[in-house]
Amino acid sequence: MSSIRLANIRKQYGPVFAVADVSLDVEPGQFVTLLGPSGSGKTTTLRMIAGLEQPSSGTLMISERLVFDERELVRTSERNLGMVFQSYAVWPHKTVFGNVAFPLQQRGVAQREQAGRVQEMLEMVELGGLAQRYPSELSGGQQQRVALARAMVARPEVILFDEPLSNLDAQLRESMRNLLLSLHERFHFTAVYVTHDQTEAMVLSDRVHVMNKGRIVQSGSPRELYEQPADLFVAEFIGQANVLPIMETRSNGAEVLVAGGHWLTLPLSAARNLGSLVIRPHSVRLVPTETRESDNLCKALVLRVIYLGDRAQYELDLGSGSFLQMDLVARRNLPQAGDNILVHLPPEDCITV
Amino acid sequence: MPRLRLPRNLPALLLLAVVFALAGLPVLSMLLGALRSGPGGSFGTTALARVFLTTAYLKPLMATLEIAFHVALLGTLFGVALAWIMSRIRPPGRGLLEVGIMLPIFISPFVGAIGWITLGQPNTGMINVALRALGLPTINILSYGGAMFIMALFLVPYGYTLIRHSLDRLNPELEEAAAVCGAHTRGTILGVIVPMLWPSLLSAFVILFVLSAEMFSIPGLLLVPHGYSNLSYAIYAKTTHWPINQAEASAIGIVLLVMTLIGMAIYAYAVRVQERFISIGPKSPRAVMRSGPWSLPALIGCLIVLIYVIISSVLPVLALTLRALLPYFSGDFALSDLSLVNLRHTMADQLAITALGNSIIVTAGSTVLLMMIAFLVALGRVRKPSALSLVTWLVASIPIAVPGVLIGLGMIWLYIRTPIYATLAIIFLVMLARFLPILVRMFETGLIQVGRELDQAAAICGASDLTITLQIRIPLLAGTMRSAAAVVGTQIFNELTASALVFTSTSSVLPVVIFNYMFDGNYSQASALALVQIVILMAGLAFLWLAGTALPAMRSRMQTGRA
Repeated sequence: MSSIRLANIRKQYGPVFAVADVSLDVEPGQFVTLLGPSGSGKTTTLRMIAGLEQPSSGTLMISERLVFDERELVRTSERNLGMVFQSYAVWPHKTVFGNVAFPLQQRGVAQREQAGRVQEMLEMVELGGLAQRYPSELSGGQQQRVALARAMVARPEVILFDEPLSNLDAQLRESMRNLLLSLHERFHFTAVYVTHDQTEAMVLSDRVHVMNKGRIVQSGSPRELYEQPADLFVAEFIGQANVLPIMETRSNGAEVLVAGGHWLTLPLSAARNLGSLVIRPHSVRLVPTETRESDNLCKALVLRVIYLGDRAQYELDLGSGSFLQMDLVARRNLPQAGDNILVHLPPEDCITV
Repeated sequence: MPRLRLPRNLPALLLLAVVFALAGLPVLSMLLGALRSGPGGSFGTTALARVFLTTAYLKPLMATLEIAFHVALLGTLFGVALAWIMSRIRPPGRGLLEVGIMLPIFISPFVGAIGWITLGQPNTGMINVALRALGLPTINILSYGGAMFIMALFLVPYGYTLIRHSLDRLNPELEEAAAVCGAHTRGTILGVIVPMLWPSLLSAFVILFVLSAEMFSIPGLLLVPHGYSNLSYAIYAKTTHWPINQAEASAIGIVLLVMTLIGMAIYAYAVRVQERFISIGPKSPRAVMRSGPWSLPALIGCLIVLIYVIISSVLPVLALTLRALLPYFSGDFALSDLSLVNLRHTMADQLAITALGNSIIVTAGSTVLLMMIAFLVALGRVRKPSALSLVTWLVASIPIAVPGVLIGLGMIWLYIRTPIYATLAIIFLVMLARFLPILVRMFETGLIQVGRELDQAAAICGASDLTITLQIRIPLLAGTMRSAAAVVGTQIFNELTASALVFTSTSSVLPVVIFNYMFDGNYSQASALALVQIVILMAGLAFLWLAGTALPAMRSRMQTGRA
């Protein structure tokens, strides 16, 4: 049972593939994110689910119903969806009430019932008292709540989100995120959410599909993507990453030589013969210079320290043109620029891609 | 059992057929006409040979170029001066001045010319009477210079709009940057503004050139008696005066069409170049006010614009009104002379009464029809891109490069041997063909500004295309529709160049009757009827304005009351 199923969906503009053979299953009630840089095909994929764009080939099912293949095309208006747009797309000539009641009107809900359901929905997005206002009298955040209420009022099984928070400022974004989460917990709609913001993806989603150049390059829970990136692109796109090219391997790949002349031991699971070693800045440990007995120790010169309040960001030189970033929790007596220090790269935190 | 399956894009195909019949066929017939001996006649090259292989039309061609060049030059100079004042010096009362600058479009050049003839004709012109009383030399508006002056005066708004639009969108920070780099005013203008603005100046010049080359009313009235005939007038004469020769008119039409096509190509190029220099975004600073609204430069600017408004609108309309109200015109008058004799006389003329009714019916009817067709064409172009909608849009755009006189000529070729010809329907067809492109463009801009996500949001909510059009698109385009109705309604109501070729006694319209009064030397009645035309137009525009401001205000008051 799946709520949305894409099989080999492709969108071609001349010789260019905007989306290349994307297959995807979304279970009912799941919150999935399509995450990727601009031009990765995530918005096109979402718009094809909505029926706002027509795939060049493939099949597409929504709620176990075929909505697109070579012979079948169900119009957007017949797909029973909700959608929140980046630009809000709130109709300026209709009141808040008129906007939110519109999906109910299209579904032939009786007038009396409409009023009750619209009011209930508006309360949920904290717009209870503004039903008769026009959108021009509302703030950006309030307009986005109207869009949210409009998408949900008819209780569609599937709701699509096209970068809905990217026009809001940081604080508002966080409160909208929380609102979205609580609405999802309450209604259990199936959500497909498009964003280029990895934090947003990690906070909201059960499952993230990372897209690049029209393909899904990795799918998984936010934790899986962060801890086991499938390739360099995912490693660098999700969170910050130090990338050290691997020069040589020995002991069946259990130890690798990275630029800077350091032999590093890898965890057994990562013992593969691959191109780069990835370690997150916060995994790099500062150890006292007299430490001797541990593996994976590197001498480093502190090039620059950026103080960020709760933590400090270090830029380290490992020698031979190899550099490393390290995040430390801010405290007294941290090393200064120009200090020679010793850092530890714990094997269990070393990822190879 | 075999079932007849209608193609999915049947509505789009139907639209293309309608648009082709309205905008494509007349132009095609006009071109083909050059190859015939007359409507229903045999094919031949006599007319083409006479136009292209003899020097018979060399003089009108040169006259057309000369007139158009002078008018365009003069009009662009006026236009750039006004645009500069309004955009950069920003005089007080800009809202009203803006309306004043646009007034000539509503008055129409031809009616303006009637007013100016009353003001500046050699002996009895009102200005001349005043000048003579002051012992000053007099002017003669019935001359080449006079005709240039009137034509330029009334075409200025078209050039002004183009230049103003670009000036407003040139980022003022670029000028400030020049100043910071040490440039003085002169250096800034020559080094920064002119190089960035030349495409707009060129496009304004070309548009004025094309518009004046198309015009036959003012040249016909003021220059033909001096032996100057332009191509437009030659076409008009060949279709309305004995000996009639439509084939030759068509052949001359090809020359005129080539001229306007070259003009439109240059215009399109200039607009494209200008887009590259447009450096202002929605959040960029607006042009800065360098001096206060009541400073000396601002007041001088205000005065210059006022002078333009007075000579282009106030004086001619005043003169027209006086002439309409004076039984005998001698340039001089006492208030006790004023009477309604001329108006009564004109209103007793059956031709004028018929034309009045026809004008109102045609304006209202064809504006509504045009809005529907243009909306559909623009909708296809903006919201449903496909080869079919692109072709429809292209066909609908054809008349933009075709002078009105040639549309009229095409209508003759197409319909003269059909029952449509002697009816009002022919005037409807003229209007639909001539003004389809303007309206399509207005709706296109409107739809693009509305943004497609508002449509798509409605589709997501389950709304059909018809519901989206009725509930989302049309309400959001209300402003566009109102200004479209005002612009196109005005143009239709004032249309002369095509109607003058195809009218009959039952299908006459106001501008044609006024023009014919003028040609017969009946200036008083022409003035009276022109006054009626202006009053009706102003009443219509006032109605549209009220519908645009009073009605929504009332509606919102009712809604707040309900809430």
